[in-house]
Amino acid sequence: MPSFLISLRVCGEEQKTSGLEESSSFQLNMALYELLFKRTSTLALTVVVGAFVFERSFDVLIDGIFDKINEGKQWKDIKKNYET
Amino acid sequence: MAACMRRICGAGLLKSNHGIVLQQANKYSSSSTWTKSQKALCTTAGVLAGGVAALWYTLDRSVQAKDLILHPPEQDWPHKGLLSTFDHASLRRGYEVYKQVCAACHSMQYVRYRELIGVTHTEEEAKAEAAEIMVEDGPDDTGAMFKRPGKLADSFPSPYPNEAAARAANNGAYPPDLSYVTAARHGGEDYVFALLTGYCDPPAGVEMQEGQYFNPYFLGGAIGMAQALYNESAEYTDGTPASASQLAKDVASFLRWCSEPEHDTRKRTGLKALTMISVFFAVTLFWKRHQWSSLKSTKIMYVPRKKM
Repeated sequence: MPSFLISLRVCGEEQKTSGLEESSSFQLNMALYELLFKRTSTLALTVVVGAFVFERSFDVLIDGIFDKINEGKQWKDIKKNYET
Repeated sequence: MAACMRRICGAGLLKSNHGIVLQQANKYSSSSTWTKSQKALCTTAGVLAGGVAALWYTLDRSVQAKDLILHPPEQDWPHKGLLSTFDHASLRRGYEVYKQVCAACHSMQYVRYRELIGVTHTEEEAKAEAAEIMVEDGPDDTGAMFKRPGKLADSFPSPYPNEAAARAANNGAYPPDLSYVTAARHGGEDYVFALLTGYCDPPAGVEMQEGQYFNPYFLGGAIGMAQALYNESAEYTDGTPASASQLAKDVASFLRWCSEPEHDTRKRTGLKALTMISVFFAVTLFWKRHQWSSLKSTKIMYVPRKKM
């Protein structure tokens, strides 16, 4: 999602002449654009790697919340009592 | 991203403009010419009507006395709620109750011993449980059927070879298969709990026939199953006091798991899905406003060409 939003913004920014070029976030966006989003090959790689990283971190986060809510009730919480 | 959000808010894309819309709509409203008292009357009537409807609905829901069956009260189950899993210690006790009490008459042919692994038992324990039963297998080299100890892939044992045998042994009443019983009965595990703990003397004028027992939660009131759960009528290996209500709660939870083994995974996936959907909903909302912003901030006029 963020990739095309940022690239759209960059297109918009280029037409402006005042002020914004000095801001650090603009420079960051330009750097990201040059590095990742400009070429299709690096864009595709960014999407794949980003999806992997997001999926893993999202799963860990939500699983942590869910296990916190159900602490002590699930099999993984009680199986230590039965394993030899 | 932070800069992106600041610009969004600065541009006012996510600000609502209900005030203007309301003012414009008011021009076409039929109630704009009403006097103050007329509006007050209308508001009072609306509030009264809504209140009466809400009261009627609440009272109607709370009694449910028009049916010929007692509806089971809703219990506060450990797995009640959008994000709550089963209490697996309770499921394990429930399996013990099933094995010691229910399995004497009820089959459970769609649940296999391997499904206990990682839910109520370890693999070794599940193998030991399966090995306690004898299963008919075969044919062997000579064409004869033979008995062997159960394996993980075997389903729970059936006490009777077929339905006719079950009816013959139970005064004509068929003990239903319990694999999906909470999904197959109105009220689910609440019904099972209420039925197991709800035995009482029949009211005056109601005669029970031989082999029938009175239970207000059973359709018709006359049930072929005698009260099965009393205090200490089953034993728990984890030392929980085996009161009748504890036994009923545990076995009802276990039966709910049997009919819905995907329950925990479903709720976990649901949390992930709802989180993602709400993020996408916000993005969609923003994207729609973003797309419409140029049109909404533009005044479009039709200027006919003047005739020369």
